[in-house]
Amino acid sequence: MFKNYLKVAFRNLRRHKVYSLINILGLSIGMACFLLIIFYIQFQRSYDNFHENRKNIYQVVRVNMRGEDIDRRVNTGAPLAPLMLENLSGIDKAVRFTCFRGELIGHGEKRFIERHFFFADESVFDVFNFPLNQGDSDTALEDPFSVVITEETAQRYFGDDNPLDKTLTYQLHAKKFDFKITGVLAEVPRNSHLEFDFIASYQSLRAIAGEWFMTKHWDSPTWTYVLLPEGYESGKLEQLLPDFSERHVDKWSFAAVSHELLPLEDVYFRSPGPDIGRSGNSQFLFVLTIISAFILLIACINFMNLSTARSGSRAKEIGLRKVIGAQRPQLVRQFIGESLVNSFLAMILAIFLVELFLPTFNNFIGGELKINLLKNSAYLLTMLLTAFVVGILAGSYPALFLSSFKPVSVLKGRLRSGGSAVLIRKILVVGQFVMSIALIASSVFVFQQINFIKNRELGFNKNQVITIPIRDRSVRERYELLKNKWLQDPNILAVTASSMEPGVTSQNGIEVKTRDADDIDMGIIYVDHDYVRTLEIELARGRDFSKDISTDATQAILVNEAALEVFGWEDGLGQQMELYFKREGKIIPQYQGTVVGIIRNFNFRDLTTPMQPILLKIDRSMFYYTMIRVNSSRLNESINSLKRTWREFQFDYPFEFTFLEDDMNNVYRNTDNFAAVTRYGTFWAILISCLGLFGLASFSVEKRTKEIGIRKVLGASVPGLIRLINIDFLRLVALANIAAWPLAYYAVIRFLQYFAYRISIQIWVFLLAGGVAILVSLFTVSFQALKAARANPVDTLRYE
Amino acid sequence: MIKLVDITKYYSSGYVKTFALRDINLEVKEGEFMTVMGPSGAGKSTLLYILGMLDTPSSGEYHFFDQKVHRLSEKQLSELHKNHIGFVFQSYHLIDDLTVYENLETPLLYKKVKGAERKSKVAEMLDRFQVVAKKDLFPNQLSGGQQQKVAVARAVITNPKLILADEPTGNLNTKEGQEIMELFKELNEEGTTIIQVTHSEKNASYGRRIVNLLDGWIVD
Repeated sequence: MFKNYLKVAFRNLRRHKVYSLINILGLSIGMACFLLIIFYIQFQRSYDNFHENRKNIYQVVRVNMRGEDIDRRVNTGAPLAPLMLENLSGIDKAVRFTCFRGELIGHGEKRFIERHFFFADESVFDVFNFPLNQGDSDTALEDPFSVVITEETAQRYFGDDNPLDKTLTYQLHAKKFDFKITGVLAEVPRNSHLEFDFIASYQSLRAIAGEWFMTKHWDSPTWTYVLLPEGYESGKLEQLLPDFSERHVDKWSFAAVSHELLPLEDVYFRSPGPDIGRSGNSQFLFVLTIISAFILLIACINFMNLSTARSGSRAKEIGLRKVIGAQRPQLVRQFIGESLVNSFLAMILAIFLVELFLPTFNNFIGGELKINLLKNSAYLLTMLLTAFVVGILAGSYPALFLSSFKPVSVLKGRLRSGGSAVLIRKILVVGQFVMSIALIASSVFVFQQINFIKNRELGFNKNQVITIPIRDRSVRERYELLKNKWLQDPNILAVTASSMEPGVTSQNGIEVKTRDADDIDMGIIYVDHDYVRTLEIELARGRDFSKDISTDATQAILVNEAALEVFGWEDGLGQQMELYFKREGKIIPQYQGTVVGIIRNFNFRDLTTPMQPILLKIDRSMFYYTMIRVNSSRLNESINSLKRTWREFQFDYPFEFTFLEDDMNNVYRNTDNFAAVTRYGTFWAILISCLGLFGLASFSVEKRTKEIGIRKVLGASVPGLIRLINIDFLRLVALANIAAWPLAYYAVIRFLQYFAYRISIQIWVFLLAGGVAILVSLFTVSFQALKAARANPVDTLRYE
Repeated sequence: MIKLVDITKYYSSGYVKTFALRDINLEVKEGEFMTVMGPSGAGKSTLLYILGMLDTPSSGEYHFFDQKVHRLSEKQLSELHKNHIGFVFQSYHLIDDLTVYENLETPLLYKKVKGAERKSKVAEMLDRFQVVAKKDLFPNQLSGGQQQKVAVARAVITNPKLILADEPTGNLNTKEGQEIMELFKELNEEGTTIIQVTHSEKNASYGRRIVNLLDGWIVD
């Protein structure tokens, strides 16, 4: 029986080539898009799932409280883990990771600036699954100044030589240390939120960062993870944490500090930051899931519509089968079977399409996805399941509909496409266009929003600014000389330095005491003279820092307008303030200063956060970046000149630079990728919808051949006939608009919540989306209509 | 074998009822070869479809052996139909996508006949109806007469007690028509009950009894 069905299915495919092509191609494009997005989602969801202990590992989150403000951060301090182990029962193991990002590592002539040099406790290999290819993970990190490296890193420094027992020189600022390589890591899976090239023994830090760092520094680039015993409720431990924190943890300037536990499986998506490594956005993932479901649904609807539209030509077969003894369930099975055949054929084609689309898709999402269908059983299972579900879903309605035909009606030629079938078909077409139009509108909004963010008035000029990190005290000490040397080149327009890269890294914090109030928490950027000038920040009142006024280097302060509001000052110029830290309840004074100028607000954070109050203060010891404005028409010369001078100074660190604009755009990479995937999905959704409409129109025209012939005999013109055929479809698309707009509106509102600065939602985007849908369907249907309208009525009527 | 009591069939469209059959009382004995005649629109085909259980009467009783057909569910009807009744149409109605062999095989598949038995039955039919050479051809590759032979073969392959033929020679030339009628005669002599609808007096002469229909009434 099954063989019989298969045969009929394949012969049907062969006999109706165009129809089959539309059907299978549409379905396979839908499947391919769906699969790519689903694979991407699966990959994202798979983060950190390779750790055997994943259910019992938690990231420790620091909760800082000041009045109503609750601030969660995942960077802690080195003292936390030992204190937790000592004072809390119910922790099996704890691991600290510390990473300074940007040390100079060398072996002989080979020297690189490394951003992923981790210090970690020995227990790292017991808690996490990072197996070693060479060396013994039980002892590899036992001794201070031992380090394990990844295969890739080994290749970089040692080529094909065995790296074991070789020495790497570690340089942070001006201090140098020798590390012995005690192990080589097996390849770290790409879906690990921890991303490192080196893991060094934690005890080495005592010498490198000092005793204070190890025992007193509670806010260092250190991340703490704990492993709880199997079956132990994390809630029980969390109850103890407020009391523990109160007793053992320094509050610094906060009213209270506590800790929470974040399960490992949530770290990738929900860690509040600062991120230790990779992080994802689950909201984007949610939207992507919807898009992929839309695309697949649109493809399924095509399939259903085309199958039922074609029912006339299958009706005779169905009637006959019933006459010679077929019962309804057998026919249902036959049609579902046929649908499954189509669906699996489409899946085979989809696999090729996935391979074809993958490079482009990877471009959009930042090249993360590698698909090895045969190796990855999850992917394979997803494909089989998709094909199966699509086959059943797409086949069910046609199967039920077709098998309900009464043989007598069919054989006597009394079959008219029933009203209900036409209605359902119309509903499905409307549904399809609702999804397409909503996708068009949403992707336009997403595109607008991202452009808006990128081109927004920042309050400073990010263009033609080159950023060079200052990683070393020797650079910092000779900064003034370097700056003056650089400025001798006329192409270098301005040079400054600061503690942060605006729009990219984060500002420092400090406490402020003014005449009116104290303990005001305020962001501060430590800058060089010329900061305002180099970044082209606008001065509202007062003056900029000046080299001619010697006290400026120590006492002058610039504040922005947002800060004025916080202080409650009308004018602000000339106001005195004391700046200090608060540690262990004690006040540690830092500076005293006078406000000499008010600058306009500028966006020193990324644009998902609103403008914040900020102080600018000169402090050369805090310079981590130098920023250089160069002549835009002499870019290459400028960079060469910077490089040449850098080399003349013979710093340990090699010359490296980025464009501020690129760095800032990188911050939006996630959003950019998301927008690209949305656009991509929209494009295919529309294409598949049109493919379906094309098929449907051709059947509709076929069915109305006689009507068209008669109308033509009666004197209808070709344009009139085209209008007649189009009007049916246009009504549907117009109706779809009405349903699609609120849907798109809701989706966009949700998306925009993510940003502090949002575009306004303009009505023309909806109109545009509707217009595009109408135009595209007009074009598709007219193509068919024209063919029918130009046919000679003599032929079409004789055919009847 | 068959007893119809006061069978009426009408179609309603809007407020108008169109009668196809009115108060039909008819008895058919096993082994009969009956011909239904009458002008177009007299209700011949409707009667045939009702007899074949493909259509249900609006009122009246239909007894098939000891079964009350008018009381059966659709599923039971279809079961009865598939075990006892074979159909032959004017326009052959073979399944276009299946070869001659597969067309013959399909009714057996629906009766869940096992593979080996199916093969031998199909072979037997191909042989008996002299279409062995055509077994791998599709219907549109055959002449009308050949198609109708296959259709008859398909109707008898399940050994039905009753064969219903709706103008079986209507689309055939004289010689082909004769061949088909000879086949029916043969089958009837072997014990199959046959009811045919025809316009042709010549075809009617193959049967032993004629029922005339006019405007839905039996007129004798």
